[in-house]
Order: sequence, then structure tokens, then C-alpha cells
Amino acid sequence: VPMLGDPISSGLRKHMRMRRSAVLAIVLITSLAPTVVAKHQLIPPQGINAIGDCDNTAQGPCIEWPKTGSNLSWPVDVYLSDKLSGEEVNLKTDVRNSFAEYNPMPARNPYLQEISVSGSAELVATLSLQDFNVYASTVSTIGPSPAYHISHTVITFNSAILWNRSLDFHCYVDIFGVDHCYSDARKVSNHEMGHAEGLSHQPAGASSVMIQGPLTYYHVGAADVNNIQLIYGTYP
Amino acid sequence: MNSAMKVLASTAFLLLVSVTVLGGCTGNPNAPQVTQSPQIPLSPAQAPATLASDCSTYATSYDRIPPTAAMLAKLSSAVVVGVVQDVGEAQWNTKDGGPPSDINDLNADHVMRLVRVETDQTLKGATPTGTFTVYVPGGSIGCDKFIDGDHPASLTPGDTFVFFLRDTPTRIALEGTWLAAQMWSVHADATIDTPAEGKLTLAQVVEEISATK
Repeated sequence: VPMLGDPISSGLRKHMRMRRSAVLAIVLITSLAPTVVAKHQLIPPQGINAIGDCDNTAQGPCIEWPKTGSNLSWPVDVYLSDKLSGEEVNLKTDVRNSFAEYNPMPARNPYLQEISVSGSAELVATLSLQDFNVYASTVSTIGPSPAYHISHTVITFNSAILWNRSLDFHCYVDIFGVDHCYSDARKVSNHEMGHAEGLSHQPAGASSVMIQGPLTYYHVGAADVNNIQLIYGTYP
Repeated sequence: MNSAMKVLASTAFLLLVSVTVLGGCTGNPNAPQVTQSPQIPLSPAQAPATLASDCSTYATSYDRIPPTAAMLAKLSSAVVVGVVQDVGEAQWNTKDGGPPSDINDLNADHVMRLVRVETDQTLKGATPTGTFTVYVPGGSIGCDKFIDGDHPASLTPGDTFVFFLRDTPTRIALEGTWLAAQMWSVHADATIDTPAEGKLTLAQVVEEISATK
């Protein structure tokens, strides 16, 4: 596991040297989308890129973890798959650090609490092969009733990504036409944990970890805190 | 006896060669056939088993660098502008045709719709002419909805899309179908809301994809 001060781990450096010697790197376009956010719609007609989007003027409900009636945050048990710890960059560490960004928020959002038994977890984080241009995905089970309550969430980090803590989002195509994509693990972890809390994507320029692509904030920003408070309310 | 066996062996060999050549074998068993069969049933023979839950939505959010048309074209086996002709009932794409047993596998990736599409323009690849069948992830089974950000939750005959196609999905044998890895809706005014470049005209998207050849 590389230390934070080590910009690139030895394994990754070796990997990159090998690639450099044989590969004509073509950096793919990393421009950001002018993200179209569908406000106040539970299910946008063309899909659900926007999960949990809401504000104080919402015509429809926010998508959220259910409140317990307590003024304090309530626990959501999280199971971190053992797959997350076998990587060169330990994704478990990054996910735990993401907990530390969301848990102290001045809002009644869920308190993310790590457990060791997968069967009883409401939120599962794991590592698995996905489409190669996907960094990670979050599946939220919404319902059964009320229909806007999140009951289960699965975060999947793509095992095809070369996870690290210094090289930001980029991909290149090698001479064999094969894509290789890098990403900063902590940055993606903070983003996915935002989805798990109920946050949706934000447009470029927002002070948020929920922007898609390289211009997203590294740490939870003011817009994220504000949106969490809009969903769950603040402490009295 | 020996000559009879030789004749039999020669006949078998010639038959094998003929089948291979006429069948268009490319050496890749997963490669989609250029000639698509319009006879693939779009809906399952039996209604798919429903979950014992009380009507939930399983929504997937994919996180990626928002792709341009050129990026998706490079990642696709074929790109087609096509019009939806018919849409099958959603079904599980598991081997046994039933729902996944693990709650963590309940998502749009394990549900599919088979959709008949009429080709309007072929922008890339050895794509079919006329009508062909695509595999679109997600759909509704019973009162449960499985949706993701890459595919429309509902499809209606007459809808036009730019289909970014991949080879036949490997999870289930669906010979003669293509996986719609992504599909961009073409509006009535011939514009497309793209994830990376905002609103473009269909002509602009076609030009961008053509430039990748």
C-alpha cells in the first residue's frame, strides 16, 4: 500500500514504465458534461442519472434513507468486501476515509457504520469488473414503500481501473487498441459515498464531489453539505 | 469398405467446409452475424418470475468520464441510427431465467429487453441492413423496475436512437442480437442531448462518428 507522500507506488511505476516502452499514449477527451439534472422527478424519463435530486421547492419527494424520528443521525451498516483490500491501493482505506467526510456533517444524514457481516448490511461496497470506461457504479434500491425511501445500496468499483492516489481520471489506448484507465481512488470513493447518501450529479462549477469527471472536488464541498441538509434537515 | 469410408470422410469434410464458408464463420463465436434473424422471439415463452418484494425500483448510476460520440464510436463494434419497431417484455438474463439469488445482484444489468430496430443509417461496422434485434438492459418485471442511466426506462415503437452496439452479450446465449451498450435518443427536431457536448444535431453526431473511421 503506497503512503500518501509517495506519489506513485512502485508497482504502478513499473506498470507505467512497461506501458510507456510499448505504447503510444493517446489521452482521451476528458471534457466535462454540462450535466443535465432532472429536478424533482423520481424517475427521469430517460433513465436515472439523477438519484436523490431535490431542493426546498421540490414538487416531488427527495430520495433518501428513511428517518427514524430521531434528531440525531441514524446508523446505516456498511459492509466492505474483502476484494477492496487486495488492490495496490487499498480501497477499504479510501472508503473509510469517505465515511469520515460524511459522518460529521451538520445534518441528520445516515451515520455510516462499518460492520463485518455482509448479510445484514444496508450498504455494500465491493470491487468487480465492469464496463471498462465506467469507474464505479451505485445501485440504489428505492422502496418498497414509501417509494422514495432507499432500502439498500451497492457500490461497485471497477476492477479494470488502475486505482491510485495521484493520477486523476484519464484513459489511453495502447498499440493493441486496448483502453487503460487510471483514477484517484479517494476522489471516486467520496463521489460514490455521496450517491449512497442520496446525492445526485452536479454540474461543472459546483463546489461538490458529485461532478462527473476530473473537475469534481476532491473533498466534500459546500454544495454537498447544503444538498445533504436539504434532504435530511439540520440538527435543531 | 475402405473406399466407402474415404468417400464418407471426404463428404463430411466438404460438408464441414461448406457450412463454415456459407455460414460466414469468422473464427469468433461471439461475433454478431451480419445477417440478423428477425424471427428471434422478443418476449419470453413464459412470464418471468417476479420478486417477492413489494414493488421497488433498482436504480443504477454509472460514473464515467462523460463520453463524446467519437469516444463511444471507438468503443463500439457498430453504430447505427435506428427506429424502434417492437419491444419485448422484460426478462431476467440469468442462465436459468430466474431472478438472481443475491440481493446485491438485483439491478438493471440482470434484466433485459429485446427490441426490434429498423436501420436508418449505419455509421460504423458491419451492421445489419433492414431489421435487427438489440439487447437493452433494464426494464420492469412485475411491479419492480430496473433502470440505469445508460438506457431509457421505457421504449416506444417509433422512437429513434443512435445505437452504440457491442457484440452479443456473453451472460446469456442470444445469437443474432447486439448489445445496445448505450443509446442516444434523437428528438423530433433531429437533435440529441449528449452527455459531454450538450445539444448537438444528428448531422453533427454523424459527422463526428464518421471522422473516427
